[in-house]
Amino acid sequence: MNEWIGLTGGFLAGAAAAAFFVASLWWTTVRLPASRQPWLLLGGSALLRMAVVLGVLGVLARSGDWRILVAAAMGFALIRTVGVCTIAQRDSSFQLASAQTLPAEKLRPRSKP
Amino acid sequence: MDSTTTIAVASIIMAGLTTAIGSIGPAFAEGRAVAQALSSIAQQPDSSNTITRTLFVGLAMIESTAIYCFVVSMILLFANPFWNHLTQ
Repeated sequence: MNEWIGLTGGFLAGAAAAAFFVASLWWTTVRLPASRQPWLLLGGSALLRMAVVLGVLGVLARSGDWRILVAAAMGFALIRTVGVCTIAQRDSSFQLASAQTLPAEKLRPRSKP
Repeated sequence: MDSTTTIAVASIIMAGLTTAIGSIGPAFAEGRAVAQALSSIAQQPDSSNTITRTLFVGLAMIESTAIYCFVVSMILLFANPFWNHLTQ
């Protein structure tokens, strides 16, 4: 019984980490084109994202049972795949941050006649 | 060197190799993907919606590869199944 509770807890922890991972990656990717310092946004977001996900997996690893880690990896893979497919197949009605701050005319200077 | 020490040495070396190879590949791939995507958005701002969506899918795939390598190295270091097989 305790074994199944541990496996389910590991699965749910991996799923929660994946949900945070996908959500923060989408937040970063949408704001990347309008950022004045994209390397800072991408690097800071990657640092925070990896700290949370690897922290969760590291805490699970301290339990000493490899099956809990495998369950967490399966939960991570499942939620990551579902989240990526859901976000990628959404309608194209979302507004990129670049559309508000950097209109196309400013990015493409008009050629002189 | 007894078998316990052999397993410990092999596990530590393989965990290091797994993390090293599993992080340097995605690091190069992610840098290249972001650089290409930002360059493409600068050249074709009208397609930024599609490019951003494709970049997101690619980054999710790339970074999760490194995370799986981290899981494998954590299993080797802290939850090695061969320890139980040896001690029982």
